[in-house]
Amino acid sequence: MQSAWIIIKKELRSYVFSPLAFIFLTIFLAFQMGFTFILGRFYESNQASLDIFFSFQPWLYLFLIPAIGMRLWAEEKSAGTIETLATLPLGMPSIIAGKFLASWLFVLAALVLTFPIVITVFYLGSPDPGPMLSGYAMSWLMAGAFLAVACFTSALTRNQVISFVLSVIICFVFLLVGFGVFHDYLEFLPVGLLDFLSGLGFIPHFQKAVRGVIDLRDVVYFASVIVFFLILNAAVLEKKNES
Amino acid sequence: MITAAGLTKRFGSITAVNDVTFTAATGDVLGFLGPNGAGKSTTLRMLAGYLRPDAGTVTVDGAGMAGDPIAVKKKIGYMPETTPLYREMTAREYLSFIAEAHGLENAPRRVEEVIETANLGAIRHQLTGTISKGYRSRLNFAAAVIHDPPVLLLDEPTDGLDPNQKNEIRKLIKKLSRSKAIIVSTHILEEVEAMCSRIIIISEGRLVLDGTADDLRRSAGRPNAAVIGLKPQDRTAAEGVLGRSLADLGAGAPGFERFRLDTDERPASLGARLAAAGIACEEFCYYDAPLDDAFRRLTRTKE
Repeated sequence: MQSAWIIIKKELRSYVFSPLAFIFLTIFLAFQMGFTFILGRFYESNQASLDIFFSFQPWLYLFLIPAIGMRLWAEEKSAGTIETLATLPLGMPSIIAGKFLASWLFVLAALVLTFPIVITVFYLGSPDPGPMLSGYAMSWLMAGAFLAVACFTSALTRNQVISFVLSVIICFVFLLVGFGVFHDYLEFLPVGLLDFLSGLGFIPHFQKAVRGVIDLRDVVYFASVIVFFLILNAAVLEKKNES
Repeated sequence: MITAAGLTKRFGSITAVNDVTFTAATGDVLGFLGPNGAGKSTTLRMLAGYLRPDAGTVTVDGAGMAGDPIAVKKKIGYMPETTPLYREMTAREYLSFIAEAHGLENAPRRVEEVIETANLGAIRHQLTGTISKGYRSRLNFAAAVIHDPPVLLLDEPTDGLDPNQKNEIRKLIKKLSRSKAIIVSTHILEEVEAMCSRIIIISEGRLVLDGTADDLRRSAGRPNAAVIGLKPQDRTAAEGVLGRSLADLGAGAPGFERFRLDTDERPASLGARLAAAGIACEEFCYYDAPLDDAFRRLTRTKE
């Protein structure tokens, strides 16, 4: 744990001092608000809730989270610092966890910075704080799943662009399989398999929380996706080490 | 003490390192030689715990890298050939990070000490992405020694340095060698003579020599040579005393001729024998057989 903390501090410092992080925050907040107020017609909806705000989030994450995660390993590889990192007495599991947690905290900071929308909603009406809280919590958890995918693809390559593209593709599949329209194209599949696939999608698991229900199964689902891709991440680093 | 036993590493169908075994004890400065691509860096990477060997083991003071990598890595200081650095950190921040990763209790003090040792004061607050090649090497060197490890692995530590900086690093290595086992890879032969107590040479992934610089010379099968200036009439007498024939090199100082003698006898004893026979030497030069000859013979690839 001590080792993971050392890595978290190092990674967070690189966010604080990198212009990229600020560009990311700006874009995230601008798009988040743009989607909600302009595309989502927040004022016209006459609802004192964050439903519209949350409904765009998976699509925003699709592009922004891979952008946060793409550098995590690819940069270490292209700069050669992975050699330093791997020969320090830290242990790979701690390093992998540290890198993931640091970026996840960064995403949390970005989410926290969307607080003006909460203030707005409270100013305009008397919303139910429950769905807001559960929505934010699950949104962060879902962001973790996106991020774990990005960690994995970043470990595959030393090229950040390739890492970005791969993780957008994988995340896009995770969004699509939970999306109703997509199922029309997969009707040839057995019903059981179709159900299984749609159960793998990010969006249905997220939407329940937006409506105010934190289902343990959704938490377990996102946690499993995170753990699964971090294990893949470790396996890729291990494999590259051997060949 | 660090031991490599039967280290082997394959990349696809290529065997980069093939059954390499050696030991470096405290006080040793082991010069690790070989042509480019012979497997030096791959071997050092396995010793440092970055690459996992396909066969063989690495042990430091009896503890195996495979069994307890974290404990073993604490005892190793490693300077990679590529001198990697985190560009967004200053030199001081980088060293602090390394010190912290090693769990040093007196981290801030150690950071200051190695900044002093490696002469990094001038760039202490500079981003590592902007420092020169010489500083990069020294910063990596400082990072390798910050936890005062009993084993030090340096992959071409003087590469890209100017002659003054090279000299400084060599002096540092000599100074540190008293309490450490040090392995230095290089392809500069003079450097090996200047600072190493032992040499190992690998070629095409195999260990081809483990010994001293003199062992390396002998392996070439080429003797050392003395050039002596004698009166022409003393030639036969000298050949009789030395038991070897002299090769004529032409006229030397007025009244003397220069001869070449191939021998492995040391100069002191040669001189003493000639003097005892009453033969006057006007000139006496002694040449060790060149190391690069021996190096070339040992590492010549079968093309």
